[in-house]
Amino acid sequence: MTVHEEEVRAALAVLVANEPGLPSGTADIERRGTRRRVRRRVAVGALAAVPLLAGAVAVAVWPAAPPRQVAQLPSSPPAVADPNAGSQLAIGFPVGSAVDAVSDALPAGVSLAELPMDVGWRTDGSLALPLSRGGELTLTVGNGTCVVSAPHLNVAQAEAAADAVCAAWRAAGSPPVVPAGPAGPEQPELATR
Amino acid sequence: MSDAPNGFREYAAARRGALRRTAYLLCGDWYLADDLVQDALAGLFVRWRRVRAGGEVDPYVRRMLVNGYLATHRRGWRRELAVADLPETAAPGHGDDGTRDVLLRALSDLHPSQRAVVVLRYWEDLSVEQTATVLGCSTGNVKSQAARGLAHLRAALGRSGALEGEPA
Repeated sequence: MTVHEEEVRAALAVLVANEPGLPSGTADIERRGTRRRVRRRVAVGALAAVPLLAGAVAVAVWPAAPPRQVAQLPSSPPAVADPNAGSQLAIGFPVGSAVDAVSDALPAGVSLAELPMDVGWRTDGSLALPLSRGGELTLTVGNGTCVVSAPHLNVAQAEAAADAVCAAWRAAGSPPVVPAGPAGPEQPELATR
Repeated sequence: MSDAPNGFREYAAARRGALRRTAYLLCGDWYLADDLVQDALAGLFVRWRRVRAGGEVDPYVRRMLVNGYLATHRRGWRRELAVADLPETAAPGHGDDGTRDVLLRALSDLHPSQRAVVVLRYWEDLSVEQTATVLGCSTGNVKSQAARGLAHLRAALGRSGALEGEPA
């Protein structure tokens, strides 16, 4: 250390020469240090707790239920399998099959006239078909038997026509004869659909 | 206090006086010096085991002390006001020829960091490297600041006639 530095050091020593007494011992320092340590631990704990709390809140909120529907939609009836859905075919023995069978079995000179629009099975299981020579042919299917009667047919011709109809009926799987027109409670419901 | 870490009380009792004098030379106020020392030692209290395990307790406390002093100057309000004329000049007491007042005024003229360099270099007898470490600056900066501070103090003391061979 140079002389100049020694001079300054001596002058600094003069400054602190009249040092007053220490205010207290080290207890106040230890109390101050303890408070600072507590504050530090609280701060560290808070820093650690904030992300944990945020995560807990996020977890609690995340799987929330989807927004409720304001208006409950009317409950629809459970779907019922309908074997005839999308089809207009009748469940029973088709009129067309019976007409074709009778028409093919008729003898020469006897034929069916043009069918009316409302041709169909009656409630007694009979089907009335007009003949071109006038009159009508009546076909009855029931109890596993077929009966054909017409004014222009003899017994043998009528039985031949009936056998042809029964053959067609069995080929179709022996379906029941369903009368045409409104029948039973299902028809109005079908109309509404 | 019962939860004082082992050895802290002995260290604080032994070093408190020296630290207080250094703090006074830094700030020029015994009350503020006490506050700076308490704050530095309280910080040491919290980290006592780790700092003592590192074996550098004195440098740590010194750094805390200087940082606390510089922090008081960075704040808008501080206890010490640097003024051109001291508001009261005490009559020279026994063995005091007015050097204290001249030196206090000269120290207050220095920039806080320059004052810290002077105190650490010429009062704490730290090397240039140690002073640079405490202040977190380069050794060249310490050298230049120390030279300027020394020159300023010597000039002030020389004008007051406190130095031998200097005109009063």
